[in-house]
Amino acid sequence: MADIPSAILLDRVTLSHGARLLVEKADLALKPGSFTVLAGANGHGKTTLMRALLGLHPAREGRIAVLGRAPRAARQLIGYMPQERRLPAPQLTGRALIAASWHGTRFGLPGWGRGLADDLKAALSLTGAEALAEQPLSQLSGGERQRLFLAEALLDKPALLVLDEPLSGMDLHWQQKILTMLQARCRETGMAVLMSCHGLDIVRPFADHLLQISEHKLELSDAAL
Amino acid sequence: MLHYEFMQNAFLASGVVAILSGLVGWFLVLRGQSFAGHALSHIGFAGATGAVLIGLSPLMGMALSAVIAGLVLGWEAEGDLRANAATANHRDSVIGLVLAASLGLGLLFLQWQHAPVSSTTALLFGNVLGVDHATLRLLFLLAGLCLAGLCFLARPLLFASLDPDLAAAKGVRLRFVACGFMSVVALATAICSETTGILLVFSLLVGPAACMLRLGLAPWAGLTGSALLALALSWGGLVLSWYTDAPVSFWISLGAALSYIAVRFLAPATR
Repeated sequence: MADIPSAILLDRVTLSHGARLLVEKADLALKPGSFTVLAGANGHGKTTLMRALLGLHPAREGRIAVLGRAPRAARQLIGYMPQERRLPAPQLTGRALIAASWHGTRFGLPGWGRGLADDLKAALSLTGAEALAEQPLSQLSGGERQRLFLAEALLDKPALLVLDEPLSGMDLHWQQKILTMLQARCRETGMAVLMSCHGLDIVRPFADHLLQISEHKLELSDAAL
Repeated sequence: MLHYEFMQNAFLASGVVAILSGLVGWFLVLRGQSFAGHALSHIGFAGATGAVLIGLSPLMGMALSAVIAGLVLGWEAEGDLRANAATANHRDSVIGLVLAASLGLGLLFLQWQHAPVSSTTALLFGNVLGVDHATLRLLFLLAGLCLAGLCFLARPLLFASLDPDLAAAKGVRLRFVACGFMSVVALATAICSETTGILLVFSLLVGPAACMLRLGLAPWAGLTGSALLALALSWGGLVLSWYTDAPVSFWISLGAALSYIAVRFLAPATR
């Protein structure tokens, strides 16, 4: 059987932000279909690690492979939800925002038609955001927007989902529903999830691994322990 | 009114200019680059007056100088929020300085060529009633180029405009898209100046687009509405000018301002 590449592979990777050392000589291999929670104190490099996986932040040394490719080459296969983002047109609906990202790197006219409608419906139903998508973004709460942004990250059926604080602003009910959905997607589709989070208690029952950044080191452990 | 050839030319010229302005302007306003569009028209003024000095047509000079400036403005890295948080402030300062310097340069070129006041007025405020067949052909050619460029860029441009940080993360080539779009804007500005003049380019490029965005219409509806409103303003301006003898540019700019005021009161307050 051919070797299946790791969803995320770090080989003696060092990450820094300016003069600040964040991660030093870290090794890591996460399998497809795994659900990993990334934890660590503020400023310890969770967001920088995620950005490095997308090729947005260069590693100072070492090698990063995502789904067997260099990070920049794997971007089309990654669903990403940044912690912060600008929204230049909050008067538009969530549907307009998400539709714009549908195969949004291709040249040509903006997407339209049955293919887009079907993919939008499927992604929005995963996060229970069908009704939210019809409202202007400016009228949504923080937690509601997070559900829309998560649907956007899921739209192109990614093989790896990188989520930076996706549960912030979400109430307990929706946190559990979203975590249940993510766990099921990992099992059913083989999609890997790397998700940063501060409230570990609620996430542990759903995750396979806990990845802790501490003292410039990455420590991978079983989430149940 | 339509029996006269100059009026037929004026309706054709203002029609193609309006549709182009409405479409390009929608993206321009969405990206918060109205000021850049305004600056490009002023840079075009220096190009137009400079072109006359060396024996070229003002429209060609305007288009060339604006496209070069557009490429420079587009080159300004946008990146994502974390990588380039302060870019916008620098960009506005640079645009403002280049805009003022271009007007000064245009004035100097005008003085060197001892141009009559009427030619300056035509450049600044437009003279759509004076469009001849050759200019009309050039307008159609340039507008076709602009529309082809916009169609090619539209998808990643929309993604990068609505969600720039995610677009950067997904691999949209932001600098390429920005440079390409600013070139399209530059050409559109030069073409638009033929109808409204350099000082009133805002009327067609920004007015209809701002109305549609204020209404919160989704991209396809917003683009269509913006083009149609620009067309209505242009042709309406021509008709009103015919009956009142007031300049076409005056009616277009007044119509654009009134449309925005109307939308301001009609649009849902929460948007």
